[in-house]
Amino acid sequence: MELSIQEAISKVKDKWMEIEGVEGVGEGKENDKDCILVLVRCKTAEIEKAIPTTFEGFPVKVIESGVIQAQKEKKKR
Amino acid sequence: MAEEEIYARITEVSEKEKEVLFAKQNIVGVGTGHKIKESKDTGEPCITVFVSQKLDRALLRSEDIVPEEIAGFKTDVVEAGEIFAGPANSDTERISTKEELGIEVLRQRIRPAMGGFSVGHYRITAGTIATCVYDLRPFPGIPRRYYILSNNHVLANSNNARIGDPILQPGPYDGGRVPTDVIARLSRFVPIKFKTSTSAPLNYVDAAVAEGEFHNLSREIYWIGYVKQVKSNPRVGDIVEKTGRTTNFTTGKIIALNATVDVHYGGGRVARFARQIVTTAMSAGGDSGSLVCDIKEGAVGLLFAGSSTVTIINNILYVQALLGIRLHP
Repeated sequence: MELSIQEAISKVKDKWMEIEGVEGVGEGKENDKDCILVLVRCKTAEIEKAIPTTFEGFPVKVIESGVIQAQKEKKKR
Repeated sequence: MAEEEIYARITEVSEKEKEVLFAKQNIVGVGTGHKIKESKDTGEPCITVFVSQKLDRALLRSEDIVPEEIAGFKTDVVEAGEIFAGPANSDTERISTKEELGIEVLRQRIRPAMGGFSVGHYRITAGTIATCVYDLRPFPGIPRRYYILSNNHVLANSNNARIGDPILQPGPYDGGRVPTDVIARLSRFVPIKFKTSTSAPLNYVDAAVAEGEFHNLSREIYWIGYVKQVKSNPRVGDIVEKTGRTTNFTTGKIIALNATVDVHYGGGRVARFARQIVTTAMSAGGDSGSLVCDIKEGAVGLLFAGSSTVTIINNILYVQALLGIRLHP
């Protein structure tokens, strides 16, 4: 049976979140079709190796997000 | 029933059942959401019940078990952790009338305070006021308190605060000082559970409210206006907008839903957030706490984190349910 996008994500989310440099995983769209969106600090050879281009039939889109930070004013006076 | 009618009906039902639900051990919030089954959003509207800790049925007394259905609507139990709450100190502070100079309007002192402007706990730098809100109950009725809504890390110094602490408008970085610029007192916050070497607890919101005097609080949002509804079903591709203290009025596009994201809080602290909304970059440091709306003034979520390419937003339904507050009407 084919998995839904949510099922596919829940299957791999914890594993991918453990990969060094992976900052987030969520449901995205590519050309109006469901895809798995992976946010990474920066695209590296290790990440390319660890994250497939499709998973359970869904395209996997990797985008560079950098580090995600809580956004209060950073400078101190 | 039309989708909106269903949500209105669920809100009515959960309103009615609240007493019964809150009498159960462990329950910290009730709201409207989608039924999530094995991490899958079924799209089916349901009553979302937040519990401090999810326990096996066998460990619960029968009267503490949340029924699978209430008045024909499915329930969804979500683990949210304890919510800190306490009586707010309603000291009235002297209000200064000094004129502020400067070109960055949202960093200035303003009374009544409104959405989009600088705010902060007296020990932080500065963040943004989302909007002003009131208690979820009684409804309809006479609200006992009025609050400023923003993030935990803006109003509660990332858990390092006490109920009743002074909240400054503008925030300390923008010149706010105790006692002249005290606009409110910390009232409630949802604690952030940080990752440890062995565990990654899930968070849903970075949110807090601070109680202020009604005459000092406007719920208008600079450049956006008034919230017209609470949007329960944002979609990938939707255009959203916010006004924030640093980047002013900006727009973005939703690129992911139900996202799990690790957020860095400085000092090596990282917290994992689930069920987040991800948009294209529309914020920078100091915009934390901004209310994100769709282009028809429907509240979508509370902005709290981001990077140079993305912005991360808490679902507004979870913010309302976990803090026990109402944005609209």
